[in-house]
Amino acid sequence: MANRLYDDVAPNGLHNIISAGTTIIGNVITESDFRLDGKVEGEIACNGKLVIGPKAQVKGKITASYTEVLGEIEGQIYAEKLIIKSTAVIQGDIAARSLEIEHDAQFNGTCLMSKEGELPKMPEVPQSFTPLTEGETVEDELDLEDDELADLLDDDLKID
Amino acid sequence: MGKKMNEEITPPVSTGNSGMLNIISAGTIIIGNVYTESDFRVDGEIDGEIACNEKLILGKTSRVKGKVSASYVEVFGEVEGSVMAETLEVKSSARIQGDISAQSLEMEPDALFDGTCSMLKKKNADRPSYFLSE
Repeated sequence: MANRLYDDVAPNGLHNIISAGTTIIGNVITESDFRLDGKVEGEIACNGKLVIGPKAQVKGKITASYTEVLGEIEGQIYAEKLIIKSTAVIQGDIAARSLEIEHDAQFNGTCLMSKEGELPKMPEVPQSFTPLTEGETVEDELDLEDDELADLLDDDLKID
Repeated sequence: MGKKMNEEITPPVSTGNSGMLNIISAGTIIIGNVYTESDFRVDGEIDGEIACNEKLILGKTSRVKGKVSASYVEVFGEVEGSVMAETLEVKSSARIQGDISAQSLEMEPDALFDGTCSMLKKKNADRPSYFLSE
């Protein structure tokens, strides 16, 4: 049973991870959490939590519900909750409902803490990909055992 | 239970090389190209090329529309485009529409494949120009 899991099922069914040394030239649209340590030239739209690591570089628009930035961004960031860490370098406009900027972070651009209704809407995930029916989780569909999954995934890769 | 063909396969998470891993989970769509130096696990959809220098696993829920190229590829999902690899394993749930080329090929029963297959023995001739390092 344990081997079957490795074969056709992701260790953790829900998170996206792009490690350093990876470049994506194009747009990324995701419903789940996203940890980015590589480069993205294009837009990122994330419906979950987005963490942009210290070595990451993004050139383009970012839209997410919860964003933590530790890397370089050249472009706009729209988030419900935005946390800019000390290693972050942001060149561009930001818009957030809740904002935190740590000591030593670099930020050049406009900041808009918008009122209700002014924040840009999350883009729709194109329907070419079959979504799970409501209430169904990836785990249910794939018939997984949680303990084994948690063990497979390195602690570094987990998003809290 | 009959003997599984993949009993010795290592889990995607533990990688012998850089220890780095890229994961695109189900429900994620990338419209554009992905170039990576480390292992890559895809469970979502990619509309564009993939060039991976290490191991690439296209999971069961994955759908790729474009060229795929990596050193080691395991396909469990759908690919519409060519697949180029040094070692290519096409699993039973795979559906490939396009040409494949590999030096070492394995295809499980029930896999669907429509296209040309070429197996060239020369090691360097196969390397596409967009591989990141040589």
